[in-house]
Amino acid sequence: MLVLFMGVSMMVQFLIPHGISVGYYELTNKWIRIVAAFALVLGTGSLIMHHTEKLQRRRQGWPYSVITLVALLVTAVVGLGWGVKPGAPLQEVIFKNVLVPLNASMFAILAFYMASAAYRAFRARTTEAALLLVAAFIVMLGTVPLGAEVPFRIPALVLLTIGIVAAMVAAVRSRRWLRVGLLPLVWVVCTLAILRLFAPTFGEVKEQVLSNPNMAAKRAIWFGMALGAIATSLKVILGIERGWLGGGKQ
Amino acid sequence: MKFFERLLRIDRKIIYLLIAALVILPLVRPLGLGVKAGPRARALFDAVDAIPTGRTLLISVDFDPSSMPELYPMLVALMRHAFARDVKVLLCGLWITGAGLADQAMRQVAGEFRMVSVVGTRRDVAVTDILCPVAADSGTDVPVSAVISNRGSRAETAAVQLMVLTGVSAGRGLPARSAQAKGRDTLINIHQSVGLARGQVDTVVLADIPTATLGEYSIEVRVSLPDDENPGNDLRSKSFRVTRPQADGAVEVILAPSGILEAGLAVTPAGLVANRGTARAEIPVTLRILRGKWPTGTEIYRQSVVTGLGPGDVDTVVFGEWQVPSAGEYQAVLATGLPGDGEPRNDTASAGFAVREPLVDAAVVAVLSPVGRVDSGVAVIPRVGVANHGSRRELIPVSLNIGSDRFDTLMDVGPGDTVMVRFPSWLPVDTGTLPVSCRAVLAGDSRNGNDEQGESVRVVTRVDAAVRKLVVPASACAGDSVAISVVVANLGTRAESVSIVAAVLQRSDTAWEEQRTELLAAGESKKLCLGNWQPERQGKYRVATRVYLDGDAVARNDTATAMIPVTSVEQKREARDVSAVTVLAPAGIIDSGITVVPRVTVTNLGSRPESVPVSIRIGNSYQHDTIVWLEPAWLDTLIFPAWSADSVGTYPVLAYTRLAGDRNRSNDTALGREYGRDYVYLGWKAGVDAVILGMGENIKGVFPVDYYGHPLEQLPMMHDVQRLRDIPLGVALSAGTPGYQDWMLYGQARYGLKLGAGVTAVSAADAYPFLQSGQLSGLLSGMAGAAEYELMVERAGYSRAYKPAVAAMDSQSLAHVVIMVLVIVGNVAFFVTRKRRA
Repeated sequence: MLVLFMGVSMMVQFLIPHGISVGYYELTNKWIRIVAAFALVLGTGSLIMHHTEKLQRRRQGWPYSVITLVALLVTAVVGLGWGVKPGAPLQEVIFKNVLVPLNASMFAILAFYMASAAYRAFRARTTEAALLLVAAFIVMLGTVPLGAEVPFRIPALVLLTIGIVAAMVAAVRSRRWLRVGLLPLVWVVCTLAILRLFAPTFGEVKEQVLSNPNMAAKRAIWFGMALGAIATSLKVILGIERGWLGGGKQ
Repeated sequence: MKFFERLLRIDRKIIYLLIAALVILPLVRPLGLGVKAGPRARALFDAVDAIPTGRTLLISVDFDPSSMPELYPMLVALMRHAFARDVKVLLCGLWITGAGLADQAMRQVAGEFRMVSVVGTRRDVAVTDILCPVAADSGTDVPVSAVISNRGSRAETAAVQLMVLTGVSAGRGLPARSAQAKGRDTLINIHQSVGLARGQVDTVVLADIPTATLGEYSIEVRVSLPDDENPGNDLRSKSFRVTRPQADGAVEVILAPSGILEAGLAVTPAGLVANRGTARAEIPVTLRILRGKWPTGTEIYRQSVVTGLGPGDVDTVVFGEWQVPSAGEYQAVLATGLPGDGEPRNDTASAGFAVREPLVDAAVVAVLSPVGRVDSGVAVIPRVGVANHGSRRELIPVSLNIGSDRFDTLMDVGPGDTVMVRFPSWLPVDTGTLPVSCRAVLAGDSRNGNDEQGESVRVVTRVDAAVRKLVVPASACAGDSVAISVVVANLGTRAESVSIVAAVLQRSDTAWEEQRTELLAAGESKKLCLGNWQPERQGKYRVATRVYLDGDAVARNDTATAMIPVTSVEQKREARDVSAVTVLAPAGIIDSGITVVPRVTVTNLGSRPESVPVSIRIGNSYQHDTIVWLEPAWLDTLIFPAWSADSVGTYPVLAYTRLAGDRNRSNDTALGREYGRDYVYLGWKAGVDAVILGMGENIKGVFPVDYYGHPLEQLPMMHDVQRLRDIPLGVALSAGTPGYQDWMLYGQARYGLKLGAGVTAVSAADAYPFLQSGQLSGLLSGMAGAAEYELMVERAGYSRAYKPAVAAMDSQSLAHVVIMVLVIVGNVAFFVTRKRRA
């Protein structure tokens, strides 16, 4: 009932620019900020309960729970004891000498994992994977200054030549002489077409990839998400969906 | 093929080492791969550049240390840009872990602007472009110019060399000596010098190249400057082709007949013909008109003329008159028939057109006036909209009936036109509702349904008196005589006797009261002096006035109030306060060798005009004093004699006022950008969406104190920034959620906040739809975006400080290329081994 009232009243007030409506909106907004602050307390409580239970039952990875709880305790004691305002000595030590380097290190080593993972897993096994590979190739090269000015025709010609040479080798081995004769002709025609059509640089092609296929897909996803959010919100407001209350039963 | 199988199982440590080496290498020895500003970063830069001086830029710091390499340089560059332009900065954050980063950036940039740091000079002169045609006729002289730009930090004189080579096609950036080695003939080799101021771009006229022989001509322009930091942009090449002169008669367009014509009309066929060749020619032109489609239709008209055209000329060719026959589809074909035409593909043009029977249709579009409610006794100009939907010009009879009154007129309206018809003025007398109808009837009208429109008008009597203005002084002193006047108006439709009451109140006590009755004619406005009030003691007084009239239709314009602060005699005598507000220049990091005009803003916060002595000091070498006259509340920018930044180093810049008897000495000195006046950091608050919505209504409601615990009320900058609508631009630097999308959903959609964004490279693709829709005014994506912004800030002369993102771009470029090479190698190995296994 409370959710129904709040949901409907907040929707209605949006359409009424009267003083009472505006006052109600501002009051509700203050409530939301207060309730959001409570969420921090709930979150901390949940974190402590989860890791305490893990510790008690000696579940896999329990030493990490010890570190989490000790870090939480130390941060809380430092904050409560010496304050959290700028200039509080211990708080600044924790932020500058622990949090910043840990966070930065964690994301810095991602580059190494990504390089290794890309080498091992980024394979053109299927048509979709091949498309993904080509798109990623264009966007990666077009993003950095080194590649942005490179004309698109150069890698296109290299790939074409590699493909034609591979096909020639296969044709010679299988003794298909007609194909051997035709392949140089195909190379000449395709080279001329590439030289004429692929004048833009990688940077420009990257812009096209991001501004057209990427944007079309993103829009579709956003529309889907928005419609889903509206449907879910209506279900919550009308009491059809009650999973958020806990227990997972409707 | 064991090699490929081994390649597939390569140890990941080798990859790690490879990446590490390539990331570290450019940090030790920069490669100078160069960064080019993209359109999205440029759009954000322009948006920040467009913020008026003194207004506020909001920056939301929505990232944590993990995204520092990408987003922190954006934050610093944005702040440098804003500070250099004297734009105030308001910082806040939606990420709790980002709070310390905003504080760090703020201290860093504010520190840069507290001093002026003079750094070494930069020398770079570049050939930006070569101006010459792509093709020319043999025997003509081809003018060649070069666009030379000085991208360094001081004025330079550079040597410009022009080489023109003939024989083979030009290669881009081919060095002159290698061109000569390939056996090309050097036609021209000249040298000249050009003087360029800092940042100047100049077009240098180099030579007129004689073109005696046919073929490809290669032009190479090189600038030479000792110690040029970027030799890569010193050489530029271009080529043009010289051909034999040739005429080319081309049909540009068929002007008539075209579109839809009416049967029976006389049309003069015409078309545009051009000579796109390089030699003069007499061009025969033929127009044919076919009934049906070309080329199968029946020819019903054919005429030829000859026109003489020089190279590049365009002429309108007119043919003999043609009588348009019956309705149907027709085709006009215009063709040139020049023997030996250089380009036969543009010799013919055809265009279809239709002929239809004439259409007659007049319509009343709308009755515009009188409709709704009008006041009795006030004349109204009746107006209606009439359209001619027919195919020819018509004289349309229009009649309008208002109750028993009738108006008639004739309107000349062109085909497809809509006109507004004004009738003589109509005076409503009797109150009540009257029917209004308008008719436009034309003989032979093919559609009668749109000939008439009906409305109604209600004639009423209006009674309304209003207070237009309450005229009182802005402040007063105890014992003074304060005149209280009011401007009242009768906005009704008849003369009225209006009562006016005015009172001076202090809290609930009435200090003074006056009442007056005045006869005002309809529409009359009058200024009345209600009397003089003499305040006895200091305090804040409220003056309220109200008009009373029986049956007043509008109550909201009946009252007016004003505040009069009354000071004591002692206060009046003591209210002397002037302040040095900001040192606008010099500040930040600048190049040595340039001259800067020091600028300081000062204001008079006191209650009487002052003659203020102002001084500025830069290091120990420069000091200058001046005197400025300031009325109360005036803010003035003082310009001092130029200071030359000769020696490299860091100098404190100090400006101060020296007014004898100044009651507030704490604001007399300006030292760079000051917290609370030029920038404020609000900090972080739980609630994300609720925080943004709250800031839309009242920033102080959400952040009563700033990050450092100062009440916002005490920070001068926040007096002008009450809510999001007071901020001309916001930039959200987001590493994820919450971030720019929340600002867009709540700050922009609800409160109209103009927004730009800086995001990590992985999430840049998500932001593209919002850029295209105009919801984002600009976008910085990843470290590349940060580098682009840093570069634009430097190029615009705002700051020469260290650019961390630009420095890191070499490493990123190499890492990207290596990952791509690895992916290609991995795929090749995968396909080779898979085929073998199969």
